[in-house]
Amino acid sequence: MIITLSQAINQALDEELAFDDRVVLFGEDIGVFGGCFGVTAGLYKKYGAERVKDAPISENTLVGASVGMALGGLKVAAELMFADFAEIAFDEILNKMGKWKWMHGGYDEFNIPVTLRLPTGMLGGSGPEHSQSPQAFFMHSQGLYVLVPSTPYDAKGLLKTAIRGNDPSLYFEHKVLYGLKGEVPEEEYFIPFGVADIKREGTDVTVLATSLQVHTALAAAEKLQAEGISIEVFDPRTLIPFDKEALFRSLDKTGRLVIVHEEPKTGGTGAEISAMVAEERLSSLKAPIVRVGAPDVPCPHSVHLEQWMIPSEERIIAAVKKTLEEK
Amino acid sequence: MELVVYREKPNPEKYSKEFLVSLLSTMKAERIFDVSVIRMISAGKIAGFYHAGSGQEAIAAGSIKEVLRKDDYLFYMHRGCNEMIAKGVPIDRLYADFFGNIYGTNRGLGAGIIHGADPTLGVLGQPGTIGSNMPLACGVGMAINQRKSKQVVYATFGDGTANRELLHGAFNYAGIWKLPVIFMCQNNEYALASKYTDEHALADGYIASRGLSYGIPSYVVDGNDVLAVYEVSKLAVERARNGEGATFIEAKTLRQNGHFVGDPRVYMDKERLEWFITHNDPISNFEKLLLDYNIVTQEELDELDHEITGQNDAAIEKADSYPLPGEERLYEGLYSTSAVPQEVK
Repeated sequence: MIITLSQAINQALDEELAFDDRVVLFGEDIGVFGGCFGVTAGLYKKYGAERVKDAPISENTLVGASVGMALGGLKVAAELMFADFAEIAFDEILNKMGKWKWMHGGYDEFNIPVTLRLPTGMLGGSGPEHSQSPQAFFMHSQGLYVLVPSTPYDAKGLLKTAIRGNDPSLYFEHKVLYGLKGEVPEEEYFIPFGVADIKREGTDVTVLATSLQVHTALAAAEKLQAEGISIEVFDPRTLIPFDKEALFRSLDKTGRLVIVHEEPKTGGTGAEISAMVAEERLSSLKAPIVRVGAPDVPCPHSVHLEQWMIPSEERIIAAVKKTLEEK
Repeated sequence: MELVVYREKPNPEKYSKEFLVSLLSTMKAERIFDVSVIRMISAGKIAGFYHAGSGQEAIAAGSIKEVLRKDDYLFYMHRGCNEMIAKGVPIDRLYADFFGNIYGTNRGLGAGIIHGADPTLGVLGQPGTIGSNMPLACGVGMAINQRKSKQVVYATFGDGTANRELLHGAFNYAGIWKLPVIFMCQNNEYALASKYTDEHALADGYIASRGLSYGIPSYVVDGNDVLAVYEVSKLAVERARNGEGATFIEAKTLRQNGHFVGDPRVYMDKERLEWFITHNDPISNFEKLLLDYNIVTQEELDELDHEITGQNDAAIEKADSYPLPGEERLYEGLYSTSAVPQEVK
């Protein structure tokens, strides 16, 4: 079936609520209202207020209580209205979700099955505190999974794996992608963590892109094809764990790497990936790695200015050509 | 809704001797544990940032030992191990936490800032960022309400922690959803070096009054009177178990030690501290009460001391006999799929 990414998330939540009575949804305005972006629409009516629970505005309490619900035997799929709000709940995410089990001895009873859904990215002038892609903060964490789906198929399969599992996950869903349509199987499926997906095969340059930028990279690849340049679009799908082997296989083939993400470039997830490649696969590279990210400034409210924040096809094409200068 | 300042001086004759001795023994076990840990830190036998709990034994013993069920949940605080001892965590395993060996409750990760736990007793742990246990306690309360299991959650913290913003979020949750949570604030007057009267905006001088605006029944009790603490806590636990929601208790006491071992305590009123130690120690007071009512004899008290000292010494000896973990311990138990450490008997 062809559905939107938003519908794919909704289906995953619906299926997991139906599968296991212990699963609850928790978040601000996710009940009757169906969520700020409408992602949880219809689930309150189907499962009731006990399973689809509205939370007051207090993100650190929301995340802390989600961890508590997990300790009390529930499985929680919580939503923060914007991924930026993860920064409010930094201690709860980093030190409670990620570490509680480990620091109290690693007992099975202290598994933390909490999946935190985080609407991410720039969308129509949301401004400096509602537009961020804060994945990199959490790539530096311990005990969490970090998921960055780019298609309806990946969105559903990764979310079901996260909720069905017994560990805490951060699930970054790009707001621009909610309306993106794609093929999703009728039958149930799960996508394992740590397995990258080659979204387009190519031989000249590997473009590693995440989330919305996978699609910008695909569009750039199409244009470059007309110029006789063959691009491999590599989508890691999960940042923790990261599918190093698949990336190295791609680099062994192309020898050139461009990393594209919407996060500011400095200290973005691309920095860690670049370091990983430099440490372990420098020998495969024929040219320096080029990173494409947002400039290191806050995201403006002005839609007019915002256009220069978001990585574009042109910038990706320029980055690809730069890596090809080195023969 | 009005603040209840509990001024009863409970008559011990209302209670059985067995019950009273249970509270006394618990307090004594807490005290000797605290003293022993400080002694071993001073002797260089164990390392760690230890926050002593002496002087606050009556709060843990009174509100936990004869009040909570085995399957009730506990989020303890950073000062001492009083609450874990009162909940029944074996003290040899707590000592092993301080030795950092594999017999410890957290199986070799160590203590100082304590992260002991015992899932079989509902002991869920403690955050190093104090106060972040309060939303967790609410979450466990939400799970209890959903499961309709009639358990309760006991979350305790100090006066300093009562200033964390998380208290607001947690009280709001507890108020809206009538969560079965007992919030126990142990007001020992000092947050590290700062006196609570300088750092808390309080309409009437009581931290407990902060609970009232969330519709949470709130009590102030003498934290050095173990029976008074028991009576207030029992009311709170009954309310929680009956689905009537949370209670906030402020138990007033005074910290007998520094914030950490070696703290010079230049900020404390020495005379007041001295008076508390000699005239208002919760354990000495309770012993005197039981002697005055002829419930116990001095010989029985001596016998009890002897017994508890023996148990304590044996616990230290046993705890010290286990090995430290290997490097692999760092990697165990991070994810549900990671290898977990073996249980040690």
